[in-house]
Amino acid sequence: MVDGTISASVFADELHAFVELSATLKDTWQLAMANDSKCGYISKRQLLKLDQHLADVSSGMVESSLEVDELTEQEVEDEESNTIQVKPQTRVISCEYHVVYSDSYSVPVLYFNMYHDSGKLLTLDEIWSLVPQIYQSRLSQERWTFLTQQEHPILGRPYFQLHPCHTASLMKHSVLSRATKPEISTDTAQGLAGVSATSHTPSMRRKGSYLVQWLSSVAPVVRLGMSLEYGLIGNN
Amino acid sequence: MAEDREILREIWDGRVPICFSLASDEIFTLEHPDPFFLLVPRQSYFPLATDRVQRTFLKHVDPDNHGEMWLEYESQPLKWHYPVGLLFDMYNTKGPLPWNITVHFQNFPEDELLHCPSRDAVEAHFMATVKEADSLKHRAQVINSMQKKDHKQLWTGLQNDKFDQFWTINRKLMERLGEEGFKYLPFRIHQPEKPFIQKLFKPVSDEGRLFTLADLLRETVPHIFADDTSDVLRCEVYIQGVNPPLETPVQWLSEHFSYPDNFLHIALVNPS
Repeated sequence: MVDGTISASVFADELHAFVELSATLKDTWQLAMANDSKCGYISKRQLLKLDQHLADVSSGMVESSLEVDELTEQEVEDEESNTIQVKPQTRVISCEYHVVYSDSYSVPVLYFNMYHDSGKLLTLDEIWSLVPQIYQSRLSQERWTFLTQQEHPILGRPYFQLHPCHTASLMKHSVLSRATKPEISTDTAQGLAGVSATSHTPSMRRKGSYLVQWLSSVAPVVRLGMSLEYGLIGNN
Repeated sequence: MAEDREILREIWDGRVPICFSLASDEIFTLEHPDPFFLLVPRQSYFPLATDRVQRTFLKHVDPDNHGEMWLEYESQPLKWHYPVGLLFDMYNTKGPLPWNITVHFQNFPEDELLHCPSRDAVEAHFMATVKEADSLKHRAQVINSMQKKDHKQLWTGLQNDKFDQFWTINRKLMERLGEEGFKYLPFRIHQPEKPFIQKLFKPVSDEGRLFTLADLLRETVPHIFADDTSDVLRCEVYIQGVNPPLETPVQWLSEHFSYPDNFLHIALVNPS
């Protein structure tokens, strides 16, 4: 829809198509049906490996327990340069992601949980430390409204959630950018040599899956792996 | 528009008498703390009311082994993000008064309770719920047209128990745009041991008929009716501590019996 929302029935259709696409790409999204809800939801598990490199990439909040308390250190003397290098152990975080439709906002919502290998849930601060640096500064002003713990609407248990109130405007700009491309002159269009063929079609409707577009925008924020193949295959 | 101000005021002033006791197996000091008695506003949230309870009991727990405070009633962890009055309706409407609640600082039940890191978290949760309600009622047009200071006034009015401060802003959220009533009704139905039920429901039919509480319940939880024809219920329906007549229009209930988060929270209680 032009306002950046998606109807429940279109979402349900896209969900099924998405799961099929996931299987084709050897990804592991699964469809789950809720007892009395018209849409199902999809879920995926993923392991996140954290090592020294990722700890550097995360925010200035390096003092979070994730980097300091949990890492064990193994000192390795570098004989040649006479420096001491510290190699922390690799930590493995178990992640679970769900995409659930919101009737209230008419958009999909991402819910997720992350667990230490002890089984303990990550704290909100620890989750924030995993959000890539590039998003942290942008989101930090609205920190309390963007990423919070909520009750999962179908399972009723605590999950972290990317708040849906910004999704429609995010997706609206995505629709408009596709809808206006056909109005570019031929010369300019040829100049945009790198742009995919689908953008040149005269159709004003969204090309490709809303779900794929939305999920690929939010996935990096929460370290959800999403193959570029989704965009290439899904949009044909 | 919520016109019956007396009712709004009575609902706002509702209080629940609570007796807080520290979990006996968490008491670390020789001197046992006395239970803490409070009259807590129904419209409030526990984290806004329990600062002194926390400060007092923290002195009696193991300083090397404690975490975030959490509340429990008869083995049921209490969700801090639900209004106090709703929790009372769900768990103690038939119980004795004061409501006896146990306070814990250990073994936080992460699979059942959200963490409450600060008052900011309560405010964020409250405002998010208000925004969701307005998305349902007015496509978020009213909340989005308000200034940040108006949003803040809703929160401070609730926090400081200031009815006029709160309702000056909230009455705009309770206005009908035109004669039609709200687009969709912001409501949640709470049953024991189950996630809450929330669905799209228009409070007024296309022909202008006001749907009743009975209509809403038949649409969302038909199993609570004894049969298809009569309005005999298998359980009790509590909203703001009372059993409203089933023929009450839900548009009216939404305007008058909602909690400050703008949701109509309906508790289904098994008959004792």
